Amino acid sequence: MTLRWIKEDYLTAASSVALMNTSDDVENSRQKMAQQSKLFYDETKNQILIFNGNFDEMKASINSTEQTIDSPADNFNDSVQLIKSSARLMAFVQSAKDREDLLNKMSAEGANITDPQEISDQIDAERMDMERSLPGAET
Amino acid sequence: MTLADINNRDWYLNQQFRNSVLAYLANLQIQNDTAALLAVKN
Repeated sequence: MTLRWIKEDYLTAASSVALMNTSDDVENSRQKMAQQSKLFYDETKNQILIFNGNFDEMKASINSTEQTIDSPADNFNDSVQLIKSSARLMAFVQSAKDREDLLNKMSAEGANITDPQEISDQIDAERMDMERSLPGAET
Repeated sequence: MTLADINNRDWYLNQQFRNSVLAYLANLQIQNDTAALLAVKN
């Protein structure tokens, strides 16, 4: 499980390198990583306090959260390459629904979803442009 | 904006979203490992 995550993380990081064209892009990524590290530090400190040194309970809670969130995260696919208009739009709608479900689950587990929610909103906002640009769309 | 432009942007944003979720999962995994290590130490 962990190895699969590491592989996916690596592939994701490697595939996004080509999209970093300016030093601002690199700086932005670096700041995001620093921010995530700080969030992790704060969250770990809080969790240790919450569980008051009971590490078995802490582990059980973390495992349960991982199981809840892990499976939907595997559902993203390469649907962006679909050419047929109706299929492309359907994939977009399904992807929006998957993202919403995932964010709801993370939120229910007490995760801070500000960052992914912001990105998800940006994706949702593309819908109008996408509909307009699909082959056969009314202009 | 062409469909190809939008698809590229969509792919990039979806990767960002995925990174964001994976970072959270990775944090959980590290916390899990930390908890296990601390339990052994105690």
